[in-house]
Amino acid sequence: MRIYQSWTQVLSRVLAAGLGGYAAAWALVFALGGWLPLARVSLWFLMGQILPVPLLLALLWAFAASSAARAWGWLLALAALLAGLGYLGKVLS
Amino acid sequence: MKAPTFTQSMSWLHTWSGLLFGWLLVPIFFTGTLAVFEPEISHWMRPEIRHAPAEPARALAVAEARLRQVGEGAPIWRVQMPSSRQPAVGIVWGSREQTREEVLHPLSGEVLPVRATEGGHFFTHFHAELDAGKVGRAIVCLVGLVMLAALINGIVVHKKIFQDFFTFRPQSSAQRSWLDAHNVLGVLGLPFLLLITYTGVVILVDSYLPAATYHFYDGKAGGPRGDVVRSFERRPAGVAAPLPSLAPLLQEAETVLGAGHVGWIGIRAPGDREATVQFMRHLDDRLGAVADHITFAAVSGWELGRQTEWNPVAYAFRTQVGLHLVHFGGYPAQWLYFLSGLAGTAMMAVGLVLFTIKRRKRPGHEFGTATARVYGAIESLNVATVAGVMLASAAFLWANRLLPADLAERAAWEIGAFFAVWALTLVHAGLRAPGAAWRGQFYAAGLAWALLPLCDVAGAPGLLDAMRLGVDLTALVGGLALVYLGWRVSRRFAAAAAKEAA
Repeated sequence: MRIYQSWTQVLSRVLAAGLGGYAAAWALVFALGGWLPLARVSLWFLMGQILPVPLLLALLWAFAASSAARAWGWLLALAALLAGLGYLGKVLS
Repeated sequence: MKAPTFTQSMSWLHTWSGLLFGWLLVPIFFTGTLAVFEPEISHWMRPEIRHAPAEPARALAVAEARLRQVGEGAPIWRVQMPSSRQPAVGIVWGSREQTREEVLHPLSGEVLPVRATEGGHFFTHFHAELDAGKVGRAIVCLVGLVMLAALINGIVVHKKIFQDFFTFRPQSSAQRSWLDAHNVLGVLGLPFLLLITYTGVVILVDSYLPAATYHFYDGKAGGPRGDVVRSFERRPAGVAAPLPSLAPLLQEAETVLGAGHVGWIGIRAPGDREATVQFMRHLDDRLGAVADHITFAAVSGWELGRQTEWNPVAYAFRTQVGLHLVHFGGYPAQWLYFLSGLAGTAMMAVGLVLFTIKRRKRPGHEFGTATARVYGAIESLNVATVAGVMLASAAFLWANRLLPADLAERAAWEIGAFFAVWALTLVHAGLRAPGAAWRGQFYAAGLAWALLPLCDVAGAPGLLDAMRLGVDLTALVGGLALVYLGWRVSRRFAAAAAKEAA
């Protein structure tokens, strides 16, 4: 079954899932840390429990997106947005 | 080329990630399933230990007497109390850098001459890190994430999930019935598969994505634990003071932790004025893998502090860990995990087989002129990662009985037997045609497991206790099932060959 245009497309999606997902997950932790009113120890143990979710969603998205460029674009945009939110939360607190 | 639909993309991902990661998933899942019974397998692998129920006070007295003999001057002593799954007393003494350990009979205090072995822990270890340290753990973590994705896109691909749940067509075409088996096992096991895979990733993921440690703890890895687990340690004074008997402290600890619930005892700086004794509760009867503990000043007998309440978020986290480790719930819970694990292994193995069956019927040109050779290699890897790992696991247990007890590096040789046999199965699968490879390795694995009781009795004479007998009987039943599977597979291949010839 060939549904993606080329092997470079597939490779690009794999990298988007890995690197994009990693960046988005990292940014999510930063964002939640900036806004959730919890003690740091509770934050840490909360993050440990939810961390697989963003990675999983990024993996699925990277292959469901209609093109590899869109897979990359949305993941990086989301990571940037979350990082911005986190930074805002940090500055305001 | 049009953009693929959602279902198409999920189906593609399911097929290819299932194949590439299935070769690791099946061994990880199979050894993880065995690891549910790690204590029982460890007990089986050290037949010098006999079941001898002992009161905690007696076991501690035995350990204390021996530690006073051999552990003088060591800053750390530890005692592992006997339990129903781990019937001997374990003692450890030494420093942070180097420790020594012994296994004692819980009644007589005799030092048991146990053979050097990694025990059932090898399966746990391989399951968690493929015997390859930090790199291995990273791979297992990644495999877990891909497995979660495969579960999700398996559901997406499989839209008529409820209807198909009641569909099993063993008499229809081979491909159809393999697919039905894959679906039934996947759907039936779905809650377990999601739970075990998610919690497994939770255990590993922070090491590789330490965002929380970095942002909340300035990168100090021990920080979160230090915030949750209270420590009542004291600095040694450097002034000698004889260590009083530990028996009264055990009694007091049991009023807090519950009678018979002390799992570990740690003694720091024994023989020093500031020596402490910490009692830790075992984890066998709670979901959260946290150990309540209480610490005393050894010389005065005063309580320095205790911890029986936990940060609720940390407790929830440790509940995910506990749900993965299944120390709770006794044998009913452990058997449920064991059988679910076998079913999950079978589901993935069938998935691997499906990949080749589909292509055996319609040989395409997916890999250009190399297509036939690539399919051949895939088939060989399938055989070695499914049947081969089962044979290698049995070989590990056979090596435990066959290797001489006083062999140097004995524990490493047992592990070497596992990897050597596994490598041989890959060679065998590469040399033989698919039908012969599957049949041969299922028969070999089946016989190796089914004859394990004989190997046990011949290799370690003496009375079998319940745990050893349990391992033997489970091996016998599992082995017979594998022999049956080998017979079915060979009939399938014979029928297919006859059809082709006609």
